[in-house]
Amino acid sequence: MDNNQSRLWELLAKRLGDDVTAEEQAELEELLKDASAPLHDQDALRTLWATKMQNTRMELVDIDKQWENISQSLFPEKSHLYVTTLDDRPEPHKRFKRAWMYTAASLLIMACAGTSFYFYNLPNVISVPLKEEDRPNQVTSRNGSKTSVVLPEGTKVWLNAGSRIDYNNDFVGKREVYLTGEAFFDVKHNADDPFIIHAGNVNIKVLGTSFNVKAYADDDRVETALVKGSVELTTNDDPERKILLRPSEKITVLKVKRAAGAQADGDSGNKTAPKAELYSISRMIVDKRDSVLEDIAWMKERLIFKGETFSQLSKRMERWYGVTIFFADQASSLVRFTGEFDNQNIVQALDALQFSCNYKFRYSIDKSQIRISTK
Amino acid sequence: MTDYRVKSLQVRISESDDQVAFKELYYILYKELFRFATVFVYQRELAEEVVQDVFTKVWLQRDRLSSINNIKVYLYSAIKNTAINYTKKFPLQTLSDPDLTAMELSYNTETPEGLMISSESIALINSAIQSMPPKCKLVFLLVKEDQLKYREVAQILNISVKTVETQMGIALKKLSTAVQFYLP
Repeated sequence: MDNNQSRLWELLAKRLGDDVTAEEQAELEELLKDASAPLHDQDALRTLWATKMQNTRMELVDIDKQWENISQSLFPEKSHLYVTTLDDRPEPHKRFKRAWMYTAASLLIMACAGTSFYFYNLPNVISVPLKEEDRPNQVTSRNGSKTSVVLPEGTKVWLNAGSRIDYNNDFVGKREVYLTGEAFFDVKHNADDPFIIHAGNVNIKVLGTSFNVKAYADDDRVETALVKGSVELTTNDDPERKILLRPSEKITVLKVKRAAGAQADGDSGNKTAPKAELYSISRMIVDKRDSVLEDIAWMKERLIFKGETFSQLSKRMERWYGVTIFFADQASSLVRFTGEFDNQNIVQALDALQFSCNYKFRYSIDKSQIRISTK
Repeated sequence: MTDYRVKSLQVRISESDDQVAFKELYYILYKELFRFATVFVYQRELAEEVVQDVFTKVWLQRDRLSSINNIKVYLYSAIKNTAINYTKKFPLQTLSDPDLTAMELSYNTETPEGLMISSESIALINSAIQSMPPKCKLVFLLVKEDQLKYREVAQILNISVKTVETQMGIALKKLSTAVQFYLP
């Protein structure tokens, strides 16, 4: 009887909630027939059920203001450009794999002076709203995503994660771009109009060639790796001195900050002139398995690292995966790693690192924030 | 009806990056999701933040929306998980008392006309609601106020449909007893 009684309540509740099946409806009618106690006022219950209750705390919430907060952070009006190829996607390179090398050419950049339209969030379309005539055009790729662009005169640029190039409106007559981050350039040949890239403290002049430039703001160096052709490189510190780079060579230029530090350290037995220390040229390293140049492995969705400290590696992982990595103690940031990721997601990557160093660190992930600590 | 609308908004957001649809989804579901967040984080400001986090994530990962069957269940679950993470991160600020939280749910004693019940009766009905155990109250809230299906509530709270049925039976019995006593 007790069981029947509680079953009766269950079914009545279900009926009120409009979530009752035909079988349950039949069962309910059966139970109602047998119900010994007089049934309660069903109408009153129904009215009660249909009446919304109040939530006192809700009255304090300003929904419109809350919406403003969200829309301001998600849809900032000021941004120059929306690049939506692969942004905001948690596993960018998996998605990108297909699109990346094969359909990169489909990207277009629209740089119409005076117009301020943009194609909001159409995949694979980059557009530049120009509010002032002379505002440099920008192409950006956020952390965790990559993009590619064909510049107005035909040069193709692949942008690694967290990178940006700017160029002026008179670009076609004067080929100059500014790079922050990492990019691979396939410069369209034009003997009359050299192509110049400003990256950190380095200026690279080319006629027509393919090469990779890595100049992230938070790195202490600018690396230029030449695949074919030739480039001429100068630094802001020594603009007179021209350095010619041959194919398969890579030049690493330290930023001024480091050079100044080296100068200060001059007393401690370091006799080399600071200027000479500023850069070094080395051969690019080829991955033996598939002869991919390590410096442009990122274009093939691979993140290669050799003897890097976790703290160095973490910067690249941050850009690669679009996460932030935080070290709770110094010990874990000093562990060194050699290896590569290609299709792993961030968790698999961290697990692999953990395994390879015999679990010297542990990690926790909260949204896109990763905390690393020693045991 | 709302479900159908929500479904169509979901498609517009994921397939055409429709900001207007996103805004509408936000306005349709804000109240329910906010209230649900307060179940876990007592402070209003934190509950607001939880809801904001969840909606932000929905937009940023909108391409994933198409693979989600039931967006409402998804949002409620996201609120729950985000809020629980908050309670871990800010254990002191989020000290939550499930009884206290659910107590906020009551009939308005000021305007009982719609119910045609005296305000004393309303007060007793409210105290019947308050006497429900926390879990029971939560299930009751989701089914009655937010009009979620039993199956959806079960998914969101990670309990069986049978448990939802049982809790709802208990809730209705309490409510009904109060009504029975104070109605002519």
